[in-house]
Amino acid sequence: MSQPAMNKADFISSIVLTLFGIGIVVESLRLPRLENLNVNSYTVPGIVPGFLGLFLTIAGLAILVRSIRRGGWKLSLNKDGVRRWLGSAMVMRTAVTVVITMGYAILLFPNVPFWIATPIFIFVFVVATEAMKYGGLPSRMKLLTALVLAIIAGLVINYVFQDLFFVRLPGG
Amino acid sequence: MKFIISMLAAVALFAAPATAEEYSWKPDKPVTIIVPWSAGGSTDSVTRVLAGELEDALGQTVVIVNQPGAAGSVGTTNAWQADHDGLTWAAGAAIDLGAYQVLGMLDVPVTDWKLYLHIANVAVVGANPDSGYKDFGDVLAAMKSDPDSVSVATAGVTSGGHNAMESIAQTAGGKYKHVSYDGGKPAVLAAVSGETKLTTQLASEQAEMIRAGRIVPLAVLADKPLVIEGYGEIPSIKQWVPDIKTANNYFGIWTPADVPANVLETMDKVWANAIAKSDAMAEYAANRGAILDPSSGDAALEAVSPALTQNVFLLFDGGKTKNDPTKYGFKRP
Amino acid sequence: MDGLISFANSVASILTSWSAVDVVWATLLGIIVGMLPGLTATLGVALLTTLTFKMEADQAILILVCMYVGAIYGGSRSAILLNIPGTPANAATALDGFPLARSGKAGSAMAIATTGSVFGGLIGMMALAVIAPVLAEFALSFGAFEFFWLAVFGVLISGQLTSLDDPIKGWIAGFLGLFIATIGQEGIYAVPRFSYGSTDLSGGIGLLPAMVGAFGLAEILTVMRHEAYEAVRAKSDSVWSGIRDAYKYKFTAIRSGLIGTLMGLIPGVGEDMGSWASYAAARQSSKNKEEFGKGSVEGLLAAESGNNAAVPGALIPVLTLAVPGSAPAAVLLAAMIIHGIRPGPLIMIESPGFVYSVVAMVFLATIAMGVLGLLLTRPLVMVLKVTRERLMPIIFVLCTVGAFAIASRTFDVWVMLFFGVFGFILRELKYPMAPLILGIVLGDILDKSLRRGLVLSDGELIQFFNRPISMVLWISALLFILLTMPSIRNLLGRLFKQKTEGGIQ
Repeated sequence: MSQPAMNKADFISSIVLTLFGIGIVVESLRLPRLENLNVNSYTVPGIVPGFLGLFLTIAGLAILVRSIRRGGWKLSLNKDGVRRWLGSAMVMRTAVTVVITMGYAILLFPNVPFWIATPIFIFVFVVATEAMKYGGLPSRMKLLTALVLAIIAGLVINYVFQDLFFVRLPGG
Repeated sequence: MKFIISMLAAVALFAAPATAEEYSWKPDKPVTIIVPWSAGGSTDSVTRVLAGELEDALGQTVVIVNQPGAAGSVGTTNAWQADHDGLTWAAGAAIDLGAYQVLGMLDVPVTDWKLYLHIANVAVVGANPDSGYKDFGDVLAAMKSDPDSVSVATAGVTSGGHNAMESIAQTAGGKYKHVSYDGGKPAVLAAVSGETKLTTQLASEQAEMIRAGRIVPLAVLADKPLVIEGYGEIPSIKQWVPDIKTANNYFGIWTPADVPANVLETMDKVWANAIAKSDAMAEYAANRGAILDPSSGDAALEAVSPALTQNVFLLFDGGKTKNDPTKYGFKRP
Repeated sequence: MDGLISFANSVASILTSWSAVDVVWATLLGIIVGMLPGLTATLGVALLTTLTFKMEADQAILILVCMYVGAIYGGSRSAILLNIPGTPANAATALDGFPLARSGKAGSAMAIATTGSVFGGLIGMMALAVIAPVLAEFALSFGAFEFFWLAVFGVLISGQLTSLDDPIKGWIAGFLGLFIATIGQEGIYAVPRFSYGSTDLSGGIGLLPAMVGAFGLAEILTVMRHEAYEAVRAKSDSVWSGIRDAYKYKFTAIRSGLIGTLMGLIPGVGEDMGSWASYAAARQSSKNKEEFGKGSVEGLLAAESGNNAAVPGALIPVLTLAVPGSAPAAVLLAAMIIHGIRPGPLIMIESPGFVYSVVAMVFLATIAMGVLGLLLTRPLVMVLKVTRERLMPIIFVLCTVGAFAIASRTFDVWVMLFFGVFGFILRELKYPMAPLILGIVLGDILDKSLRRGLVLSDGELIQFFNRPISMVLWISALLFILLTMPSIRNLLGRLFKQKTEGGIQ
């Protein structure tokens, strides 16, 4: 990230951080003080998170002030810029990766038997990312090796965890 | 890689149990025992000894899974939510299992579980050698004259150690300074290093330090004196506080009571035949200042109920529970 | 002298029996466990405890020690090759190991790490053999106040070292980690904090799922984000050049070994602080400070000698106090008890032979780790030849299964995903992940020891400052912060200049 872009990112993220820090302090104050238990007042549960929240608030403010001084508050967002950024290959690749990995971990992994779910995931991941890399469907040879890789990796990982390490995998 | 696999297979072969006796339940898959505490703790180590004995008896691998968190309720909840097929068990101390419902952590009464208990532990009042306490009478005197000086290390408010100290203070009168640690071992170590003067953790956690003279045992919270191998006899607390109610702290494993009948039938037999006569369990108990006292089913429930009832009311009176124990059928002792 | 003889006897009896085979397979398995994200030393040792239950005590403990040593070392492999530390103890390894691998020196980086680990392991072993009882008393002198400062110190140095241009972001990451550790039921009154009625959250955020997410998934996203990402291959990359490089900094390795051993002694922080403290010390005394974080041989060597020296360090309190210095050591202690060995203050009197046979086991495990590690270097470099499109999905499967394997909980998979995405965003904003993870490790210690310390001292803060070890820790933490402030550095610079000028006049 370039320095001006970093200043803008710092500006936004430090606001989030400061609010988060304040939120922690408020929530820590709301934690039970256990007065009815006659507990030692130095040991109330909120004391440590409260101080941590305070530190995060101060640190967040420090970065906020710094980014304002460096001009990060001038976000100068415009429609075209945002559209160009969203459409860039970099963002596309990240988005595709996030969607495929989440789909596997949230949907397939807990519900479908591991030895089926995993090869499907690996194959889809390889094909989708290679399609972006070559700008089109990969060659038949590449598809075949991807399929072989997916099946072998699925079976080997299944064996190592289920049979060597006695991990009961979900989904069957 | 192939080499390791074949070596592991060899190990597994060596570890394979001898022929199982004729039981009506023969698990076809490994049996899982969830230890709801971290690996290496007292529940963990005794359960691993037990797992070895169960493997022999059942002719099936017994896998230990550590699922610590929220005073053991996370792992215990998972054991309850697994299929009720006898293949998933939870381990722990019976008083914890009985308190989860009152604490609002797991809405399952202890009677919905089938309990298999093995060893019982007792709490010991142990003092740092430089604490100046010559016997338990000195501690009682200090609790009345200078309570701030009586610092007591325990494994936290829900621990057996804190229970013991609370019931001493409530019965005999007097106050003390409670300091909690991450577990029994760290609490004992605090008394050894002199950070606190006393600890009231379990005998099993203090045994080595007592033998080495780093902790002086003043009294045991039991009706009778306790003998620790290599040290000698620890006097009963009744000598100083005759009215105190003592209750053994039982450890064991449990599974939902509605698992198939042949599972329970088999485990009842295994408990009576194998666990009660197990040399490994007996040796473990003797080394740790514990008592091997196996029981199952109704007998087990009866054995734990005094400690369980005492514990839930101690927690409730201390304001630590969400719910009133009497709502769940507990009767105030 | 008796000790030396029993040590030699133990080595000889292991080497001349089938146990020698155990050393090889158990160490190799340990290296594999350490390499796979999500499988850790603790899990490996716990698993083998069950599998070796029926064996003789000596053989079982030997296998467990080999697994432990191998796993802590194995984590350096994925840290160097993929920037994904296999265990939390290898987070500092990735700082310099990964840049070295990116510049085409993966082979020599792994050789440096191996040499460092062997060095560290041997130094720790000597401490275990010679002055175990003395060191155990040092561990006892760590009370609530010392633990508090150690946690603060750890987060500050790790925050600064991973974010050298902008330390405040490193500290923020560290303090976020400390905060994350306070989620869930707290350890003193069992009050749930920040869990809002969720049973899963009240159990707390697991360290390992968070680590696998913040290092593993976040790294996958980073790698996939970039335009092109194939590693270069340098001609000069060889195992021997790595060993030669490492040898140049033998004093760094010795110092790191000593620091690592001391850190290993202290319960709860073990290997993690071992590598961070060694890394910090190496940078502080290095002539080439600017290379740290960009591929410094010294830094890599220090981190790896530090964490492997902590292994025998952690065994010292296990044997002499029956209190473990780290999580895997806790399982090892349980295994010893199961096998009827009684560790504790009397072990040197009751069974001194056992202590020396443990020393022999550590020795053989360390040697096996070195040899196997060097042999594995060539095949492992091949991993870098796999394209990211094909390597990353497999790594992700390992991350998912690894997060799940720790406690068989689906919740842990969600934690991994959350920290992956959250970690990716933070990394893009230049917040380092290593202090966050160390913060999660140390948060619980910080929380409890601050509150415990306040109870013990009846709220008198002075007791936090005036005890000798506390004093060393808080003064060094303070110096660390002050030295990073440019205005203070300039001021110091001017002062020194004036002095020398004054001397000339």
